[in-house]
Amino acid sequence: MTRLKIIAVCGFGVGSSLLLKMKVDEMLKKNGMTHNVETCDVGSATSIACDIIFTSNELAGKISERASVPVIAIGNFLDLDEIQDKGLDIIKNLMS
Amino acid sequence: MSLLSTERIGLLDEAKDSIESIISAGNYLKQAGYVTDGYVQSMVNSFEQNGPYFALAPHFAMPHARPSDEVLKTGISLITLKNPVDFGNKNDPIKVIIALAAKSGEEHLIFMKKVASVLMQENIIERLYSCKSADEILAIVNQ
Repeated sequence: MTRLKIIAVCGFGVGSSLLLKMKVDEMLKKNGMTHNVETCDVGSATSIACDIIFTSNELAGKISERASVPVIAIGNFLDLDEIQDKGLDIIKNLMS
Repeated sequence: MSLLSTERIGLLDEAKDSIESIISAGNYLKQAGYVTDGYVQSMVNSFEQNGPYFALAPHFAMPHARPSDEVLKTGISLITLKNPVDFGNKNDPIKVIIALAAKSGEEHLIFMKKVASVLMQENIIERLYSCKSADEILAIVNQ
């Protein structure tokens, strides 16, 4: 199975993005998927090769302007359902 | 390793707006020797530059700044707000704030996993907000 490279982005790549990464990992596990999820800061987000980006509503705008991959904007970083509703179909499409 | 201790908890803090609440939470880290003065200002600067993104979940914000020399130890402080304040996104009003001082590296990663596992508890923000003593907070956070 193809492994996607997913990145979770916040201002510095050490706080919020780690929480988001853990939630994305949990969502993938729940759906029986294994992909690589890494964190990074908003400055380097678009210079890292990846397949999909998860970030906050606030940072999504900045990142989408420069990104060539789907950018998923999350409002509640602790809400598994929101992460799944917004991200799962896109991840499935990338794999097909 | 316990995540939190009494001197880094502020109950019903009287901050009047988002900036005051960030400074107040940051000052608990500073007074306990986790960060320098400069770090508290860096958290405010980050809020002003990147917007309210660290209002991460309904009624909850986790202000932090870049890992740097301003961080003396990895750690958190926690305050609840007597009068909830707006950070400027859908998660307003913010009632509970955890200020994070992060050093990068493996130790930080283990630490953040513990923070995450606390935050993943059901109704965690409401439960923290209803605490009437630091001991009640510690019982939830240092489980």
